Amino acid sequence: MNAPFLPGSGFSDPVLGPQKIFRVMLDAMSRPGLVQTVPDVGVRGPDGAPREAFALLLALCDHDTPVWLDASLRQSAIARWLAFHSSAPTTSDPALASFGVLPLGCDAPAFEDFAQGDARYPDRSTTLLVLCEALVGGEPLTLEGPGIESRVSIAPRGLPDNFTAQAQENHRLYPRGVDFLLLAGDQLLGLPRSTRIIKETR
Amino acid sequence: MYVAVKGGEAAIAATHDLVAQARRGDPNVPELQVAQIREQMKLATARVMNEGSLYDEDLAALALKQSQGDAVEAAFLMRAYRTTLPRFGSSEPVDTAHMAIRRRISAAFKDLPGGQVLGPTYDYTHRLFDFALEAEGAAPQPRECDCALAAHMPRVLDLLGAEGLMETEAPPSGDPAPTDVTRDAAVFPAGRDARLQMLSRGDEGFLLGLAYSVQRGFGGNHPFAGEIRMGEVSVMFAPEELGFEVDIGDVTLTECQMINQFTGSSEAPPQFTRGYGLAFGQSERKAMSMAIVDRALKTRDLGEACAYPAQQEEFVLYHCDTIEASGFVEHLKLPHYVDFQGELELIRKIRREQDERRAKAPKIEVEA
Amino acid sequence: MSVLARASLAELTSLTSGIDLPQVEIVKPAEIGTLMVEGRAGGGGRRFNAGEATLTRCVVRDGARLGFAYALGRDKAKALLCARLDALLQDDARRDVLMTQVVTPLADAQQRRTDDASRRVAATKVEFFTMVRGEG
Repeated sequence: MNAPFLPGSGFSDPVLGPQKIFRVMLDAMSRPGLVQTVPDVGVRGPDGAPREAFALLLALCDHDTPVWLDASLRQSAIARWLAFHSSAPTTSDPALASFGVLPLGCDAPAFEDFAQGDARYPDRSTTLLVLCEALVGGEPLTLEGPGIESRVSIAPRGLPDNFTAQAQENHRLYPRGVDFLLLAGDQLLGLPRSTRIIKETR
Repeated sequence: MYVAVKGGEAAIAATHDLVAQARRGDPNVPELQVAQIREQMKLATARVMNEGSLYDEDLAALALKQSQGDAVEAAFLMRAYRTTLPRFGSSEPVDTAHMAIRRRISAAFKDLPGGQVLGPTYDYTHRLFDFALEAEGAAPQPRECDCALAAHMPRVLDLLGAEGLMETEAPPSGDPAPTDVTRDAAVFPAGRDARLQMLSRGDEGFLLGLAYSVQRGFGGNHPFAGEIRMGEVSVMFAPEELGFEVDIGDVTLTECQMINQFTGSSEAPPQFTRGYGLAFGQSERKAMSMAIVDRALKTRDLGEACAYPAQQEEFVLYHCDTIEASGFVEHLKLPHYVDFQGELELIRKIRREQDERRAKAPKIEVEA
Repeated sequence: MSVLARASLAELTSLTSGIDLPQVEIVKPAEIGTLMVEGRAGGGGRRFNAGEATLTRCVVRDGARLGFAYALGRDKAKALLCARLDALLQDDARRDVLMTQVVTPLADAQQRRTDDASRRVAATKVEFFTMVRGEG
C-alpha cells in the first residue's frame, strides 16, 4: 500500500464526465469515419498514453470488463492506474477481453484472436482502442456502411501493421467481429465491424 | 405487443399521496423507525435481503417500511436499488467452516465435534401467544455459559468423507469463477453454480412448496438435515486496485447441508448425496428448501430419471424468482385495452363468419 | 483494516475526537457500490454467486501514503474516516498513538461482543439421547 504509486485523477465530475465521453464515443461509432474531439474531463493517467485514452478507458471499463494489454503495458503504471480507478482486471488472453488497448507500434495479436461474439450474442466481443500518430496524413481509406451517407475518406497514420487487411477480414465476419476506436491526441474516430473499408487506388 | 397509454398523471400523483397515508396508518400510533424494523423484524429483513439478492439490513428494513411489510414489494425495491450501484468486484468464497456460530444442529448425527447448539430458534416454542408482548417490557436476560464456543467448528459433512459413502464436494479443476445470472442470462442445462445462484434469489414460498413435494414423494428421495448452521462469517475481498485481500466486515449467513440416500445408477455407486442451501441472515426455512431443491436438480448429474416437477430445472429455475414472477403476474393489472380490443374484434369476426357460413349452408330437408 | 471496517461511525468518531488528524487529499471520494458475495457448493465445492452486499470504499492520500477503506454497508463518512486512519497508521510517527487509542480499544470491544454472544449461544448447547433405537 506504501508503494510509490501516483494515482493521477479520475473524472472531475463523476456524473457528467463519463456522460460526455460516452456521447463522443456514441457519435464516433454511429458516424464511422467522422472525426470527433474528446473533451477534457479531468482524467489524468501516467505517461505513455494520451489523457484522452485514459478518459475513454475509465468511461468504458469496470470490474466486469477484462482489458487486454500487451506484456509491456501489463507491467506498467498504466495497468496499475487502470486497476486503481476502474477496478477492471487486465488479461493476457485476447479472447477474454471486453476491451483491448493497442499502443503505437505494438505487436498486437491477430484481431481474430480477440473475442468475436457469437451468433446469439455478437455483442460479447472486444472493442479495441487503437492509438495512432494522427488521424490524417496516412494511407487514404474509403469507408462505406451504416452511418455513412455514401462514402467517407479517412487517412489515419501509425496504424498497426496489416491493420487494413485484418479490419477488412473482420468486416466479413459481421455480425461477429471486433470494433475499433482510433485515437490520436484528442481526435477520435470510430470504425465498427459493420463498416466496409476500401483501399484507395491512385 | 405493447402499446403505450397516456393520461392518468393526476390520479397517479394522488395515489402516491394516498398510499403514503395508508402506510402511516393511524397518526395517533407512533411511527415505526427503520432501526426498529432492522432490530426487531430480523427474519423479515433477511427474507427481503435474500429475494432482493442484496445484503444490507438497513435497506431491507427501509424497504419493509416503505412497502408496508410486503416482502415481495420490498425485495423489488432492493433489486431496483441494486441496479443503480456500480459493482466493485466479487468476494473470496465465504468460509462457512470459520463461522462465528449462533446456531448449529444436525438431525443425522448426535455427537458433533464442537457440539450442537440450538441458538435462537422457534423450534422448541409452544406456538402459544405471548400476550406479554402486547405490553412493552424488557426482554429476559439471556443465560450465559462460562466458556465460549470453539472458534472453529468443522462442517459435519466434511468429517464424513473418509468412508467414501458421502458424495464429495470439491471445486472443479482450476476453481473457475462462477457464472453470474445477473450478467449473462441462464442457459439450460444450467451448471450447479447458476442453479445455486438462482435458488439463492428464489422465492422462499415457491422453494418451500417444491421441497415439500420432494418429501411427499414427488422427488424420490428422503432428505436428512446433515447440518444446519447460522452465524457471522467475515467477507474477504481482494480489490483490483489493492492487489491483496482485505476483511471488510461480517455477514450473517444460514447454511444447510442435506443428506439424501441414493441407490446408485450407471453413473454413480450407491452413496449419500448432498444438497446445499446458503441464505443471508437467519433464514433456515429458505436454506433447507434450497438444499432439498438443489439435490432434486442434481438428477441429470447423477443419471437419475427426471420425473418430478422439482427435478425439472427449467421449470424450477425459470419460475422461482420472486420479482420476475410477481412482475409478470401483476402486470396483468395494467392497461391492456388494445390487446383486449383486438381479441374482442377477433371473436366477433369468428362469430360473424360462423353465422354467415350457417346461413349459406344448404338446408337439408329430411322427409319424415 | 478489518477492525476499522467492523466499527461504527459513532465509535470511530468518539475514539478519534481527542486526536488531531491532519487533513488528507481525497483521491477517490467515498463511493457506494456492491460486492458479489461468493459461496461454495457444499461449503467447499464449486464457487457460486450467493448474492450481492453493499460496500463503501474510499481512497485518500497523505503525502506519499495512500489510505484505503473498504467496509460493508453504506456509511460514506465512516469510509472516509477509515481511509484517513489507514493512511495515518502507515506513518511511524503516528502509528503507536492510533493503535493504542483507536484500533486496540475497538478490537477489544469487538472481541468482547463476540465472546459474550458466544457464551450466550453456548448456554443453548444440547445433548440429545436416543431412546430405544440407535446406540443410545
